[in-house]
Amino acid sequence: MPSQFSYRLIGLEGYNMSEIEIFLQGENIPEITLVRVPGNGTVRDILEAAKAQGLRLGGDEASLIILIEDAEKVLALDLPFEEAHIRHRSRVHIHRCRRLEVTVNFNADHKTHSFPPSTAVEHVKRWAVGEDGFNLQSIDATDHLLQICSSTIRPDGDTHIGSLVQFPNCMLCFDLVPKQRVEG
Amino acid sequence: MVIHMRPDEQVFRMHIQKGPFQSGVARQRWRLLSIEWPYVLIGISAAAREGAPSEYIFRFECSNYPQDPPTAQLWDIARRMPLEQGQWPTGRSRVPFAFNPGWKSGQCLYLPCDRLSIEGHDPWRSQHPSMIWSPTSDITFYLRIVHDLLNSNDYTGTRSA
Repeated sequence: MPSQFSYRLIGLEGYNMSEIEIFLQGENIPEITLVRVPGNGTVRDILEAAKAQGLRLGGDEASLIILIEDAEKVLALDLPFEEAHIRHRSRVHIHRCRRLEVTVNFNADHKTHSFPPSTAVEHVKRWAVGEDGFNLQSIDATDHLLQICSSTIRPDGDTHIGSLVQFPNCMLCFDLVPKQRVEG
Repeated sequence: MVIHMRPDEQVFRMHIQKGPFQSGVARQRWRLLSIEWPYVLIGISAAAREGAPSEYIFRFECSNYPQDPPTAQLWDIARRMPLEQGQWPTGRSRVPFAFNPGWKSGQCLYLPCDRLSIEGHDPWRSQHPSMIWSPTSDITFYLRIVHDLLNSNDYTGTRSA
């Protein structure tokens, strides 16, 4: 048994205030990845940091686009972080698909919409249950989630949809399913 | 003095530095409070409910992490003991099943990702495949499941409220 607990907050080791951290997702990046970039850098530094960290991006600079989470606007590589509104712990996405065609199935119905690859799964779910989707006012959205079609994979709400596909496949299919109670 | 850290603790400490755990910290979904291996205290935020805390503290026992799943119990950080039953979270359907003080005397959560609860529950592997721990999982796998419960409309507050 531990002799004594210490209840202090534990922070990141070796954090340098001249750097900022970016939460990165994208094609060939299966989990949210932290990269460190110069605080006064440009969008291109994110690509360099990703490569330095061993991430295998899908293509070269010309074929990749960089976006902020849930945003539509593609960021120019030479744009300084400040102008790109990228701050410490911003969420950024790298992909070759400019848009993803997302289909959501619910019961016998389906809806399709085009999203940027930087869109979070939670955002897609809100669309699916909302007025532009199935308009499911009668169900509790927090009791449902998106499951990738023909699988048991239920991506976390934070996951960017682009992380789930690889160019040139820029399409994605989800089933909107109820969360099950654990019993038995 | 040379301090030897066990391999399971080394892996755990590496995981909490990585994107998935830090992403949850940045979203204020959870926060690390202490590590006294193999015990780890983590606070997980909960939706606002009248008379209920904004977070619950869990004591994870992480021996042989990540080969074996962790097990977690609700913890009273001030009294350094298991949280009394009246302070446990409850709800309408999914939440009271997961947080059941009658299950194994409140030692663990009634979830497929929990090391103690999965024992003897082989059907869960096919019924709830998305909640089954694997050696490639990290602690955020368990944290996300608990955070989701505590932030659903199913969650109504504490048992005594």
